[in-house]
Amino acid sequence: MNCPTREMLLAWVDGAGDVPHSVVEHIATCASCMDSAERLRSALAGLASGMKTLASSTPASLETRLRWRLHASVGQASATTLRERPRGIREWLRGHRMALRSPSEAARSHAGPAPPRPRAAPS
Amino acid sequence: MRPGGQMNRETAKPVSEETVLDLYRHHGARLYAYALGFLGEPADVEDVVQDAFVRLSEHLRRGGSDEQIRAWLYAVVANLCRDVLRWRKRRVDIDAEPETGPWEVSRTLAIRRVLKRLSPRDREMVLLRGGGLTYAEIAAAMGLHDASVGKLLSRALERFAVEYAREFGKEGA
Repeated sequence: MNCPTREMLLAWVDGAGDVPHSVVEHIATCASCMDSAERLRSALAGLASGMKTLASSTPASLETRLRWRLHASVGQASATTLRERPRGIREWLRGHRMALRSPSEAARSHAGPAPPRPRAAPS
Repeated sequence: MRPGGQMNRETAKPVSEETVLDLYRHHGARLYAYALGFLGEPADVEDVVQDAFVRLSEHLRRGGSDEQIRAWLYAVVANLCRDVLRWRKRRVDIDAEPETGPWEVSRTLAIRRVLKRLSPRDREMVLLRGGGLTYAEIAAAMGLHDASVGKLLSRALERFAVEYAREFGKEGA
């Protein structure tokens, strides 16, 4: 296609309001431009649906992995910038230790030490 | 400050994991689609998207602006994708299709084939447009002048349309 309106075709297909009237008139009467516009419209629709399919294939596990990465990067960042570094690191390590324990151990630890038994009343 | 949050040193604003995760929930799927169109291999794409958001977290923590964050994210993802492609060129056949994953969907696979026939710059522009970015955002993501985006995008999409018609016939979508 060698029409001078070539650069404006995308704007016309997009329905942009600033396409000059002369260009609109030309496209409407030029078989080559109409053909190109149709091809462009079809390709854009295909692209949009393809991008949607790809976006919907984002694995749900990615958010969990990202959460872990961010969590780990906090440890690194706090090593150089934050005053509360020791507490952050300790908490981070405590979290890791918890994750490495067996579920029953973790549950015991989470529940805390067993409460002291009440003393028997003196008889 | 939330647990696990990060302190913005210059403005002393908290940058929590949740802030970054909220941004991920907003932009993640589209960035994933963009990188998948670029790279085709889901495992690489997951790494790229993760890296981009970790960098975003660092960017915000250092006091970086959150204006034009979408363009910023696309620019980072594009750079990471280019790194992966450079690495792959040395390591494996860049044209090898993954055997599993979303490319099993034949239409998407065909669109990927169409994209592959474009030059890297045209492909990037088409994918950015497919991601719904404005001309200004495309300019920011690609380091171009706003004024030149319309012409370049128009040409890239014209070439994409020609290849698309060749792949799918005139009926297309």
